[in-house]
Amino acid sequence: MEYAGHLFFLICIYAMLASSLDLVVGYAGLLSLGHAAPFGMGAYATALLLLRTDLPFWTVTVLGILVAAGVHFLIAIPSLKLKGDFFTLATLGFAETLRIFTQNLTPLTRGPMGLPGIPQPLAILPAVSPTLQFDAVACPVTVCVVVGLRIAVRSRFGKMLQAARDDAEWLSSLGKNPERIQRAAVFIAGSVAGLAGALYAQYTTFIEPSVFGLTESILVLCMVILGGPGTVWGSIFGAGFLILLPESLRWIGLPAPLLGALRQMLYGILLVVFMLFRPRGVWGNPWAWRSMR
Amino acid sequence: MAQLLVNGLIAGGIYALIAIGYTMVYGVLHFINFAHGEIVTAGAFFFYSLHVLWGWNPVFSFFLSVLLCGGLGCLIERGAYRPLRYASRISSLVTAIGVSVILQNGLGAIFGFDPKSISGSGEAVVYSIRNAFITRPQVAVLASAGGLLAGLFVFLKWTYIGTLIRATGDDLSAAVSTGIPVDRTVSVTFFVGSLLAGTAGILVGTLQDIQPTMGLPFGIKAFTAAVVGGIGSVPGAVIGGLFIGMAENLGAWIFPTGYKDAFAFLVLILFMLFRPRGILGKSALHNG
Repeated sequence: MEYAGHLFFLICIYAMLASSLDLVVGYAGLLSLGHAAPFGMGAYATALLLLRTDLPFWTVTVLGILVAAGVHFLIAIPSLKLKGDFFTLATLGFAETLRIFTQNLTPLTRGPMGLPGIPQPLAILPAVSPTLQFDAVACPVTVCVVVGLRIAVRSRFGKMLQAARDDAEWLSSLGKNPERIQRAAVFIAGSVAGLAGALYAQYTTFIEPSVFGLTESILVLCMVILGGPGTVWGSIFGAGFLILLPESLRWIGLPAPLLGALRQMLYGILLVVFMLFRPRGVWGNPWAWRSMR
Repeated sequence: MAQLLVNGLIAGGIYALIAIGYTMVYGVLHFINFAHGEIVTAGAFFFYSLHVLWGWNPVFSFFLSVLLCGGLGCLIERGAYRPLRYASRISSLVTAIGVSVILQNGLGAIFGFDPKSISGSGEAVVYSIRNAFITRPQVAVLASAGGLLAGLFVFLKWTYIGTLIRATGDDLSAAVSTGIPVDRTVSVTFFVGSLLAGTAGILVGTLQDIQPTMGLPFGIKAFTAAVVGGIGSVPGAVIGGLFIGMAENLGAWIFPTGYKDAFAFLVLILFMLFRPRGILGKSALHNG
């Protein structure tokens, strides 16, 4: 039960990360390799505020989200000036820079040793296991986030975002600023990822600089591609599938480092196979990316 | 100071060898081969298995590993990139990321993620020039990097296939319509780029320990070098490589070493934003 609850919580966290990345990758058509940046910022900001201050839980979470969204927005301003592959490298560069800084700013972040003993103000009932209490919070939050994103992509804003992806010049000829719309999308995605990071830090009670890692960004990207970019729902499927599938590998009984490598290889193979044979993912929005040559 | 320059020159030579692969592929296909850094790692590990594990002759192992890298590059291009050449650019980049993850973790699964040494028992022959010290493996690195770069210029400038590569880089659709065998030309481009990257990997291995995860930092620095020199330009890649190697080693004077890797990203982002055409200000393969 405890274990199932743990997996359920991870699926919720990654569903939030993947659906918010889908807003950037699928709807805005910007391939980001830096989605770990807002996630890590949310996690570190929350952890530090909980450890060092007496602020109440809600304030801390809201601040964590704002820090994550703000940082993601600041990353977006220069990155959006770059097109295509160069945007991807810029996002990777910013996320890695944040990781390197977290690793080296030891007085603040304790560097590679990470931050242990993060308080869990959410776990208020002593009789119930913290995992289940976190599940009870994460589940409705995830549903709200996903439904909210779904409403956002179907709104006027969502239509303009897709127009910026498909034909930016046409959109600007209507007097809209495509870059501004994309920056707004990045801000929203950053706040969702920050929320996921805030919940994750409180749940695990321990975080280290690898939350900013490229591995994390690639995993979330893989979830989006698997589910189908430009659908939001697909990302939830991708998150569930990629959390549960490697867990089933665990029963084979391989040594941990080998298992880790095989798990990563699986992500890579899925990326290549889906791009070659079914670029619209399992759920598939055939229109996303179609016009992007 | 002189020591820093020597170290910078050696690092720069290695970055230049890797950067050429990025720049040639970008020049021909306008695509960032994200898996290129992993070819570097593969070269080091081919050599490690042949020479250290199986005890083969070092010279033979070297040439075989380098050829295997070239083959690996062609194979990746044929299997993963060619089917998507005319698809959206985002999809070939995603594929390249996937290939990079597969290679890195495949090597990790086979060899483990702990550092390995291929330099063997280092007979520390040290030469000194003024007050800088340089070891024999370092001299070998400099000589082979220089020799290969010279060979590459000759290849691109004066051989038939080199001309084809430059022509395809100038205009892909014109190359198709004039009957240039584009598929074969692209294969050769990947082969040459991967050959140099594999060599760089082995050279890295003679200087430091090798690890399956080393592809990303080397890849990023070399890519930065290519952008600094003007992506698509082969001489630019060499100049960019030397620039990054020097800047990194001189920067270590000022910045704490922990931030060394962040420095390359910073340079990359600044150049992409403010000087996307690079130092030389020309991004075309035909200047090879």
